[in-house]
Amino acid sequence: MNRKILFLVVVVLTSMTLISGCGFKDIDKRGFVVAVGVDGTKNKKKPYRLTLKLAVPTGTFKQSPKPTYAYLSIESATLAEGIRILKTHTDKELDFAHAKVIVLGESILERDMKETFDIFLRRRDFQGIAWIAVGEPSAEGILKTNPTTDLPGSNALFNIFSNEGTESAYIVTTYLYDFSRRLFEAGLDPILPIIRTTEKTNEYRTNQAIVFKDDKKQLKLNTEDTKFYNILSENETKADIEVSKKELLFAIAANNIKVNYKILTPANKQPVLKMNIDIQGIVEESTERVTPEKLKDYSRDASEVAQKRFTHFLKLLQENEVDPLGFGLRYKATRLHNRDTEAEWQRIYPQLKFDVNAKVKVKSPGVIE
Amino acid sequence: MNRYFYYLLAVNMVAHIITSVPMVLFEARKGGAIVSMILSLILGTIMIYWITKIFTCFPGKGYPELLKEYTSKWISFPLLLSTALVWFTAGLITVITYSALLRRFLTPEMPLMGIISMIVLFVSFGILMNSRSVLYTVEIVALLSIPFTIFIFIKMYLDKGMNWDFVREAMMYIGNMPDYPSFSASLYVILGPANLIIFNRVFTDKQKMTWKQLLIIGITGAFALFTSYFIPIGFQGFQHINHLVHPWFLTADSIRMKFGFIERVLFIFALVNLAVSFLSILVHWHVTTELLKNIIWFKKFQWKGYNLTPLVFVVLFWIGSLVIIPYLTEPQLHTYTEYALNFLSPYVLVILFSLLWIKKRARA
Repeated sequence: MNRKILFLVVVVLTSMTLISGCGFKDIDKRGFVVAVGVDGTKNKKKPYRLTLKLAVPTGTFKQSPKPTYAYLSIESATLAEGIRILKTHTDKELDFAHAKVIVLGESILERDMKETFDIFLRRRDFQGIAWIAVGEPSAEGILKTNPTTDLPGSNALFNIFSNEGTESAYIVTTYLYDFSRRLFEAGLDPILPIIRTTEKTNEYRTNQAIVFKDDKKQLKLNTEDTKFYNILSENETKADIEVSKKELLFAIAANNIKVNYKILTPANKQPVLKMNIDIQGIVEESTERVTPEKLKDYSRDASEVAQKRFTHFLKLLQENEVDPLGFGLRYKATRLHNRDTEAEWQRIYPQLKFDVNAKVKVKSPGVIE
Repeated sequence: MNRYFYYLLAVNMVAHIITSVPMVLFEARKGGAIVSMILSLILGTIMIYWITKIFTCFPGKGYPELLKEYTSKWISFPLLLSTALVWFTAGLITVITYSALLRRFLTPEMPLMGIISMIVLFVSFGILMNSRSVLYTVEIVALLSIPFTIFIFIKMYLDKGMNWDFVREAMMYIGNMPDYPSFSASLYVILGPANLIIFNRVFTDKQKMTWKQLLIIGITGAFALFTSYFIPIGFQGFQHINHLVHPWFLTADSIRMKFGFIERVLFIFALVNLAVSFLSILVHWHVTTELLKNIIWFKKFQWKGYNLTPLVFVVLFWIGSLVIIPYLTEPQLHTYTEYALNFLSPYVLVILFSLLWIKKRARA
């Protein structure tokens, strides 16, 4: 019996040598990268400028009431090489487990996005749920901006997209996996939010977006169009609609938006995209007294305005031959694949007619009449 | 059937998603993947129903006993040996795939040999247990991990990022002719109850196999196949999904638990799948050892009253995995797995026919 126990003890002890191989590094020996920025340079040999934003851990809140960040930047031929060289610029082990935001500078947008983006899809430590954005004027500038509202333990860049902080119909949220599928699939084009910052203001402005098509073609959406994109893609079910009619000016807070559409291709006729938009909302602001009888007029006016604006937005996308809402995908998804539906769609899209039917229902004048 | 039958069914249905089965299907996505899945679901369910039905006629008896009783040695020996080989390969596929996954996602700094030894060490303890204890292990681990898996599946179905238009695009290829590799691969999903060839020894009570069981196998199988094919397509797109090396892991990395303890679902998914894969390896290799015991048995190889023959098999498993795995590159792994899966479905037919023959002789 004793011998057996002795034998077991020896086995357990020797098996401990097996677990020594793990490369464990303590948390204070790691540099946590919270955001990655990629800019383009004019240098042909070193076309990338890589910027990493590192969170510096602090012991207590009193020690540093503001979050402290360190920045590493380098110009390199490939991003992988850049990361390797940056490892020699710091004493910490670079850890990308918290790299939740990837910012692309404006200067890199005209290059082949699939090439630039390859490393983020190929390396295992970039997460599929990282947010991608375009930085104006540069990714480095965005990363080095620290808004005054930033607190330790939270990161302003994360709060913009995570829906844990601000929520807005003007913010487009694109995850890494979403960007990659839009990049490679036909019939659904990539769209990225634009984060802007100026040298004077210490804050982010995220209310525009940019749509890509192939390598060269791009379309910048202004603030209003970004909202329309969010509404039509059903990413955001809360939005505001402003209506001005002669003297009257009122705003509706929509809180329930439903969108559905289908693509009809009758023989020998112009193809039509039939879209139904149902919006319910309440009056948020008005230049006149809103009596209950007027709600119907308000609904009608708002419907007319919404219909006009949405049709205009869809035509804008069509003129620029971009398709961030995935009409092409829907076309392929509703027709049996016994012919080249992809090529068919390429022919159909430029001559597609939009039949938008927007129904705005104003439910209440708000707290006062 | 008693509940252990369903655990065996569930283990294969969950464990297959980390092997090459979904990838084989994605290769054929523009061909006959969907029709092959439907066909294999129907034929597979019927085959499993038939095999199980025959085993219910012989309560408490496994495949080796039946072969010995009703056939000559010249037939039983090659049959048992080849069955053992097929089952060993099925286990080995899971070991190889999972060790590659562990190295990529969970323990990137650990040497591959260390990972393999860890997995095989734990499995070795398991396969030497008796069949009843193996089933108890399967029950405990399955009850702990399968609810999590189902939770993750439901989360994926309800996620905003799941684009159903991709799924519908994939469905538009339903008009194509089925192809053999994807048929054979999707058969693997519902093949769990085939493990009865050994575990029927434990089922000593008279079991019933009726249309109810048939329905359960059919419905869960349909759900498992639908999930494993369409969820990755919904998240990763349709045209280029065959470019992904680990489609299911990338899909698990595409959903976010805002207020979960861990935001990245990938890690929960990896751990839960580790548990289920462990079960899959355990069950397959346990069956292998039990089969081998019937053809190779050294009577004099004893130490203090214990026969050490099973240890020889375990050592063989160790050598097999430690030699084969570091030798393979990932694309090779995928190709060989595909070959192995191709071989699987005709082999089930072999088992089915031999059982039918046994039944005929038993009646005579």
